[in-house]
Amino acid sequence: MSVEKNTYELTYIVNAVISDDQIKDLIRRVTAYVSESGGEIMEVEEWGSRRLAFPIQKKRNGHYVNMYFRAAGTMIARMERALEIDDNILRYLTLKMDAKMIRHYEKRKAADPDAIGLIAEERTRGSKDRDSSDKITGAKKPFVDKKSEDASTAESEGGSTATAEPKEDKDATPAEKNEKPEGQDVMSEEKEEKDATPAEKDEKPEGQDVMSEEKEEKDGTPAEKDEKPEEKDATPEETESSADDSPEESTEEKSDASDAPVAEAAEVEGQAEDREKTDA
Amino acid sequence: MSRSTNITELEYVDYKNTELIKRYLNEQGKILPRRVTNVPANFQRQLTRAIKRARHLSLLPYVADSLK
Repeated sequence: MSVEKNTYELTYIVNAVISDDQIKDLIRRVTAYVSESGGEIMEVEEWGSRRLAFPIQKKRNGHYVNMYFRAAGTMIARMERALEIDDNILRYLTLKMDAKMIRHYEKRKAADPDAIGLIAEERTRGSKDRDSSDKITGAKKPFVDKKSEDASTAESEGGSTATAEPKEDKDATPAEKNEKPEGQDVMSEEKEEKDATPAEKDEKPEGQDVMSEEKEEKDGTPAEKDEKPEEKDATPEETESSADDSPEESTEEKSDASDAPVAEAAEVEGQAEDREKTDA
Repeated sequence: MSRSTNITELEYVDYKNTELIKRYLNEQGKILPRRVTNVPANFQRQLTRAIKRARHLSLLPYVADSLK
């Protein structure tokens, strides 16, 4: 083929509900399709199964595949049509790589040949400074989170653009406290996958929950079912409380909200006691 | 690693680098305006594009109660 070839990056999400063999087969088919229609595969990288930021076609997890190849522009449309038709491909993104993107790709590859891609990146980051990832983790261990907040502020204040930083940091820190519960699942999940030993100690109860959740999801979708009833339960309660002006709801909320600070305070007290002991 | 060196060194903002991108979202997952982020216009444009790509691939939420 004397046609001019471009470099492309293709990322697609395979339905993670199907069996591993099926996933592998599908990835092989996509790769084969590209190479058969005159493409040169540069790299195929699987990020593995990740939790989606939002459900796609009622799936909460997806198997991400990221590949780089050189091919003629005319085959892209045909390839995208094939991807569109396949029901097990939830999303795809094809990008034509310009000089900057190619340079960026090569730089990353040179920097760490084994760790291109999202998961690898998180893995290295996780091992080097786990604190930054803990920032997103559980509310049940405020002690570790304090460290992470310190780390994050220290990190961001290091720059010369720090003029804008303080504001952001102030905004960010309280927000992080509020947000911890949400991120829990995802991060502890990832840690489970990475076999992280030190962080797991704090998280064991949570992590187990997540694992069981995941298993359930793979088996069917009972996890989703579990969640939905809770939501249903929650809404009538709210309506009742608003109608009756019952104080129960509000007090409950307050106690929930103050849980973390209380725990923190408790730990601080604990530390103080320790100090006293050492002094004595 | 300070943020400023990051920005000046980057000539391409990668949608896969969600850790970087997340800094420029508020907790709802909205893109922060440039008057808040205080970054070069070129960087902000690339950032916006990367965020939208990441959202499409469900790496980041379109809407969230609490991101991060």
